[in-house]
Amino acid sequence: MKPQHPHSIDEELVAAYVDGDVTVEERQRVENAMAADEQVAWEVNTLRQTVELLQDLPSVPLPRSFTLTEDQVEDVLIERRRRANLAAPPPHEIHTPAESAWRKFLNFLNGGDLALRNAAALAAVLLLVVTAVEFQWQQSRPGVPSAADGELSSGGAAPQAQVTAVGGAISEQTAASDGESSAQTSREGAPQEEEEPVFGVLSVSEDDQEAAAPAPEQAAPVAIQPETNAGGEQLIPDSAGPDSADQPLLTVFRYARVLLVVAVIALWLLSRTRSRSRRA
Amino acid sequence: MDQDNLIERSLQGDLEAFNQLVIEYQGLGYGVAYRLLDDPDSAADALQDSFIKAFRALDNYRGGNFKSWLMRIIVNTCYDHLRSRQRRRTESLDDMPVEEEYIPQLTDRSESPHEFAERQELQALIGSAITSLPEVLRTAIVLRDVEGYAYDEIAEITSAAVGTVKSRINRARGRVRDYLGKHAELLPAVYRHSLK
Repeated sequence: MKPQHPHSIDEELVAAYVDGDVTVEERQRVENAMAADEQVAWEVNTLRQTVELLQDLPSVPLPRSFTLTEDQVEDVLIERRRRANLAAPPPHEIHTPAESAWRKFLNFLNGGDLALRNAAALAAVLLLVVTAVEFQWQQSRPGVPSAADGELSSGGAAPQAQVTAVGGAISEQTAASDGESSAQTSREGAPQEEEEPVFGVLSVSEDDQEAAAPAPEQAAPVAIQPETNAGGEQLIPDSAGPDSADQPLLTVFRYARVLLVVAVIALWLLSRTRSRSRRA
Repeated sequence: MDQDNLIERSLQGDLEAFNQLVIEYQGLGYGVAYRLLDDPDSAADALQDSFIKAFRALDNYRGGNFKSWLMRIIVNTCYDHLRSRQRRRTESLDDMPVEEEYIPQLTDRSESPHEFAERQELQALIGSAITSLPEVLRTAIVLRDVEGYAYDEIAEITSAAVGTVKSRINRARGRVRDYLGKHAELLPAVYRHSLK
């Protein structure tokens, strides 16, 4: 026959004793009761064995993950995100690090309509290709001046002569201390010294050109010698212009370059304009 | 990751932060739900509902033991599922379970098929014994003896005094023992002899 309840100790103490969660005094009380009453001993022992059976139950494997999806709590998420945004400081109070000039430049380049921007980039690449081909073509034909040469050809010959003359005057000054002939030469070059000597400057006034004009004749025997041929003539590059057969091709290159430059600028501006109109 | 930080981020609408808490506690939660409901599908449903409720109720969390706060939601949700299931059973006999489900896993690969079958039967019997208990007793014994919670944690989860918790645990153990005694043929020999 089973005992109904232990009468000498309450059930809270029995539970704590079975779990080993009692003081020394409480433990003694329970064990005294068990010794005095067989029913109390049966009760405590069977409860302890029941606990052992329960503790032997295996842990339950997790069948799946229970993480939440946005759909399950969408309304709460919206509300909380809205509150979080309201609680955030206004944009002018947010201290973000200053954007670097390089970053601004990159952002500026990356802005605009993508298709038009790509077209502008393609035009830019074509421009480079045309320039490179033209440059190569000119290199392979030394008699044909480059576009830059052509643009400067109007004043090219005289200043070049002038620079050579000035250079000659300086050379004479350097040589003056060595001999009489050199001193004479220095006197001949003296008027040049009163003017500011110009080294390698191509763009000069007409007065300068006139003043420099006699210089080659005076200085040529001494200073220009390394740059003269056997006949004493200066080796000034021939700027007479391209052969008539090459002229159309050169013109094509120039028009192509101009067109491509215009295309790059126009396409890029259009891409920016279209982007702004879309945002608006 | 700091739990308070995860809670704070969850309150600002960061679902990933809350899911990290879910990952941390889903194992514990499922164990309790499974033992309270004694059915894997019901336990999964109840646990999923519990996490949704917890996320919605996070504004009411006032600090303290988050684990206990979450487990209280899980236990209460399991009660809701139990009551719902009981209503369905009374309404339709077709919903009566044909047989109890239990976890078919081997803890000792050296045991014979006969021993394995006996162990499964014993586990099913203990599950039935727990399920036969009233809700408060069932919760107390599951949290204490199956899941290993401390008295004060159980008191916090069940909103009861520690003394009440101990009484419930003792009564629950006594009822489980009595239930098992009615099926002594399935019990281990030592336990069977002690009951005599």
